[in-house]
Amino acid sequence: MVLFGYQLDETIYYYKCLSFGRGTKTMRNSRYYKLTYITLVAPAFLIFIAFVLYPTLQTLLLSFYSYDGGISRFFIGFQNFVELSKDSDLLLPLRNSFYWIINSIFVILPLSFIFALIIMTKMKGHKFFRTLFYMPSILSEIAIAIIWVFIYNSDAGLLNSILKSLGLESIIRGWLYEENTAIFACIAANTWAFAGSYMLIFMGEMKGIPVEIYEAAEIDGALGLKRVFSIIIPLVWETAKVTVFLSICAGIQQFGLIYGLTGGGPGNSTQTLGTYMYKVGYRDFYFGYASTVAVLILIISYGTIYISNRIMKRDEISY
Amino acid sequence: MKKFIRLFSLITVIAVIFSLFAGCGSSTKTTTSDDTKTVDQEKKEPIKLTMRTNYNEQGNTRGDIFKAALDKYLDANKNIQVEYEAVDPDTNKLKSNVEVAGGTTPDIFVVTTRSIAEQYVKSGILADLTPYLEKDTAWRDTFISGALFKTLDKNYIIPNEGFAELVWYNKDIFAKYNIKVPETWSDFTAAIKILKDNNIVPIALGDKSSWVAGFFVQMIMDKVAGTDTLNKAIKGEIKFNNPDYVKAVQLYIDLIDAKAFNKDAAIAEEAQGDAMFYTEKAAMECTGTWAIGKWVGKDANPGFNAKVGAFILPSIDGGKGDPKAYFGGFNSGYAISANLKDTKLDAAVELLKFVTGPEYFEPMVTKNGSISPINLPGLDKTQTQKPLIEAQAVLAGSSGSIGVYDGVMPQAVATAWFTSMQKWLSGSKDIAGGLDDIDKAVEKQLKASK
Repeated sequence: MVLFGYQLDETIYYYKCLSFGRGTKTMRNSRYYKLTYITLVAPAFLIFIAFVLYPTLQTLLLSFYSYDGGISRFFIGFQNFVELSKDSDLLLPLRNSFYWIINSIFVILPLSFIFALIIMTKMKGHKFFRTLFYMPSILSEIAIAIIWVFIYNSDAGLLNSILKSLGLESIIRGWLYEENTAIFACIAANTWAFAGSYMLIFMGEMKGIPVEIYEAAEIDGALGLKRVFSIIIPLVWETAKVTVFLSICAGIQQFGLIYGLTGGGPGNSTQTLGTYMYKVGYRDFYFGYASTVAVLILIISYGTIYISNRIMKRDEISY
Repeated sequence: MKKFIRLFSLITVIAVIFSLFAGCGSSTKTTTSDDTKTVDQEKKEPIKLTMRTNYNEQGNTRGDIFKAALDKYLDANKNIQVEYEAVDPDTNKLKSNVEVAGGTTPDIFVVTTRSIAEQYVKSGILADLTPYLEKDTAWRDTFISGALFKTLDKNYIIPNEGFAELVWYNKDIFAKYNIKVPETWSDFTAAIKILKDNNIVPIALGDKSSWVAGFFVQMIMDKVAGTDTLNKAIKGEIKFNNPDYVKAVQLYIDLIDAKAFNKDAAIAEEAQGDAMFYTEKAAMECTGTWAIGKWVGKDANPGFNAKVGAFILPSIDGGKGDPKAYFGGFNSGYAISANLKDTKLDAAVELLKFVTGPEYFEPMVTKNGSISPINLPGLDKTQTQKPLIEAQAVLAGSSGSIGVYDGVMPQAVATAWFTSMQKWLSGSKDIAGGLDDIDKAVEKQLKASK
């Protein structure tokens, strides 16, 4: 069949070759192959340009302007970046985002890995625990925030009631209300909210490990923790890397949960980089400066991902 | 030729992909060569407008009254269609700020303060309504003196309500503990102590959105320092970190230390604070007359309405502020998007004329206890809710109104002020640091406006 001068059946053949990663050098140079390639890549590429590249470049451009949302904007060169370097209000959001990332990597990920392990052992009631651990992940961030606002309530909150019943009245406090505890209270809520979704990613990877590997390990005497450290962790390492990247991005961009729990307060004590960017943009109307904060977020995100990628680099194990 | 075919096929593929995107769009435009037919179609085509108010709150008396008025207008004007949305005040602020940045506000929407209006006018997002008011003087003259305020010398906002911010109290609770309406600052602090000793929350407050504490703090600041101090401070002529404001904030912190406010006040929603007062768990609340609708609405505590009294915060020894002045006036109203032109703009203005007329404001006064921005000659002033009658008695003995602080401060300065107030409310004792933050915001704002 011929369409626009192309042999359609030939194009379909090349599509199949592309799908299975085959194709000789001559084939790759053929126009049919190129057309098929372009046709397949074009939709994703256009979406990338429209929704990622263009807004990113616009934000970068806006960071060189003084712009209050009005009709006109003024080019001010690197002035916003100079202001950013002097901005003492930025220190708290930076610190809080750092806490957020650290918690994601060193608490949420190990926890979700342990949850996945517990469920994969298929112990009694594992289906119940799977639902229990995953349930928070299906809730919206605002719904999670509302639940935790009630848990943290000073007078009738669940947490303080439990502490009271345990006789620990001395540590009862307004968890979200006090500047020194608010960010940690938010981080705890975030841990509850997201451990389940990472657990599901780990479970997917663990299920893909062939049963023969476990059997062979069992014969070699690798049981219990040895099996976890010698087989499971090396084989899910690539997935762990992905979850680290995801949690870094989620940590730096964090907005919804903070907004619902404290609105960034009390004062600025729970502002993260994401909420701070929103504040200077949509509350103070310094859109140029907010774009500069967005550029900083971009740099920190890529920088942190690059560093973690270097640290976690290992030879890929395939099975 | 082959090259042409290749190029043609590539363009076709791209066009197909774009047509898929175009399919996601909400509207398509068809044209016809028959001009007469097009004109006829346009005549029959209804005018579609989008509108958003912030009339979604507890009890929602206001929202119901507005919807009834709007429906009545639409029934009588079948050529107008309005896609209407009512959200809560915080969501309205949030959505509007985001939309202004993108130039995509609804056709008609509510702007809540004068300083926000000024920001939006600078953004070029609001339609100038001065010509309409000048043309229709009968409409203009329905508004009471001072209600139609100008923003940068023009009328962009049509007021939707007048207000007075006062300290409201529960007469029954005051009577039970033998507390008299405070006339001095020491009376006020003594009342707080009595209430606290009897396990009653003295003042209800929900300051999560960070601006609600401003109703109260502005009163203390004004009583201590006077209104001129604020006017000078926002221009950078004097610092916020001055002895008068330090004293005012110290008085606020003293009240916080005396547990004058409910626990969690810094992160409680405004609605939670309101509920604490109208469910009689708190003896006082510092808010505006707009709250009366919540006390008399569907979900209100029966009989509470009759228990509410009001007073102006007592003056403070050595204070420079006018002891009898109250915060209030006209601050919020409807704005029309500058994107509207010709017939759509005319239709939007006509709609506003109706919803700022007696059809809306008469039930607002009688059922919601609101202060009307228009003259209502046929309405008996006593035919309103009891808390408003109480407030009117207080206002009759006052020396006049002062513009609310967040209506006067530029947005970024107001945000810094809100943040500092919330810090103090959550236990910070750093008065100088909090005031310095406001000064920094003033400096930044003055620098940006240059």
